[in-house]
Amino acid sequence: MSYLSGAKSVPDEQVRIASTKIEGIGPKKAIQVRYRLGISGNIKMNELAKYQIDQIEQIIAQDHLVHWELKRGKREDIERLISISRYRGIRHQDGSPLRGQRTHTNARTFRKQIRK
Amino acid sequence: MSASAPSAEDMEFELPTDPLPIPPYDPDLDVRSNGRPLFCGKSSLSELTHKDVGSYFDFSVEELKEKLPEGLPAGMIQEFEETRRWALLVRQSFIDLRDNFRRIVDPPARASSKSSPVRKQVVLDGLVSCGKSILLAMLVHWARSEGWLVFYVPNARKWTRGGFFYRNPNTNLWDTPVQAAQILKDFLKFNESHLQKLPIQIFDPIPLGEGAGIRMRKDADSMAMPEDSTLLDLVRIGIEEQHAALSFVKDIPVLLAIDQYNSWFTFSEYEEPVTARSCRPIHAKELSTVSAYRSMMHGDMMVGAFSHSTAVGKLRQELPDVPLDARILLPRYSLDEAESVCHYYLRQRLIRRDGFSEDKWKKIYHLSNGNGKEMRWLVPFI
Repeated sequence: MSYLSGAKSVPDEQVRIASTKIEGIGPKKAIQVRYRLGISGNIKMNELAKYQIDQIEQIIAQDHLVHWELKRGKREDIERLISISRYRGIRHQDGSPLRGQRTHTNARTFRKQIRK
Repeated sequence: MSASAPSAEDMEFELPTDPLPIPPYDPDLDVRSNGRPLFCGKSSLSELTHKDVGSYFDFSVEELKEKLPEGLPAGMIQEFEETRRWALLVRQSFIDLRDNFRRIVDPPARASSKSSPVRKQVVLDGLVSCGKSILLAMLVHWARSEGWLVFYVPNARKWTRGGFFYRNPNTNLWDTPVQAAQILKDFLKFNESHLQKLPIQIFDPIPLGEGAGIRMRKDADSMAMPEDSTLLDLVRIGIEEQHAALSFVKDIPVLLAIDQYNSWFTFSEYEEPVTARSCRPIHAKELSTVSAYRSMMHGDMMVGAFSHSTAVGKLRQELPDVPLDARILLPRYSLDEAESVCHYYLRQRLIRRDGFSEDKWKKIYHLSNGNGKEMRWLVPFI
């Protein structure tokens, strides 16, 4: 078991799949990171040298928000809306949907998230 | 698409001297409908003449492994496995191509006005399953039997995908070190005995660089070749160092045989990031390995076979770096060739004898439009 920028990865997993396990990196960003370093789609994690893994982590840390930084950024945006008493901030506080959905019925998913 | 030659131990194959073990064996099946023998009985491809067209030539397993260690085309393997015999149809197109290259290396004393012009560079094109890859493999087999130095690439598409890629700042091309190392290893696999005999003298030191997967060497940025080196030493160093490979062969004929050649005229799998959200696909001609071998505008003998298995799509008639008269359109089976093929399949028990007739094999031929692969699939339904 190895780690890529804090995310667990299996040795014989392809780099393009292992990169997406990082929170904040999806398929598109994983492709961008790979192509910047000259790694094609079929290369697996156990074929990479140590310095290549370091390069991947360096590029991800430099150019992308991942892990706790991403979560902190999201939380700060919500707290800003609450602090300036915007409609969306109040809806966040109430645990209700804020993108114009109906609440007479449904809206169970959003309410479940807040209850958690 | 290519795979290593199947070993004789895996399947029970018929040998030229022994009929299939399942009785009863009928020697009348060894003759075609016009009374000519089904098998030409020649021991090498060099001995074939136009009189052998339409008959079958038997290969030996050991020779196939020796002459084509890079692997056989998929169609050839399928033919051998389904008929359970290491034999292929001798076609006029093979005789013409072989004689073309024979005349280049050994020109006749008096050039006949009736003979077709000699071509050093040939591109084999044609419909799906018309025999391009098999023809190329047979040509490589013949050339190596003649003692030529043959650089055979059974899967050119592999050069444009996989591994690492890195833009070389000196040449502005994209290096693919993994593919380059594999190319050298394959080249060494068969041509070791030839390479040992060819001395080289490189006066300038060979520059070394860095690339994806390979760090810059701290101790040196170039490497000198010692005196009395041979080409084998250079290729070995090229494999070990993964940075350099050259060829200065002048003493024996050299043939470049590239299968899936059309994959070098389209985009590779690699892309270059342009902005934070977009990438630019890299064309195959921008790869250093492909750009070194793609061009046919040189004096060496070269054959490229197109492949419909690579999803390249239609290419334009006039390809860059390819002579205008290089393209040869290979036809599918003619009626005479289809007759020989069906009689061969009858002999090899792909067709039941009680159901076989001239009308039925002609129906199969017209139904498949001369496609060899489809005919082999349809004949059991006779």
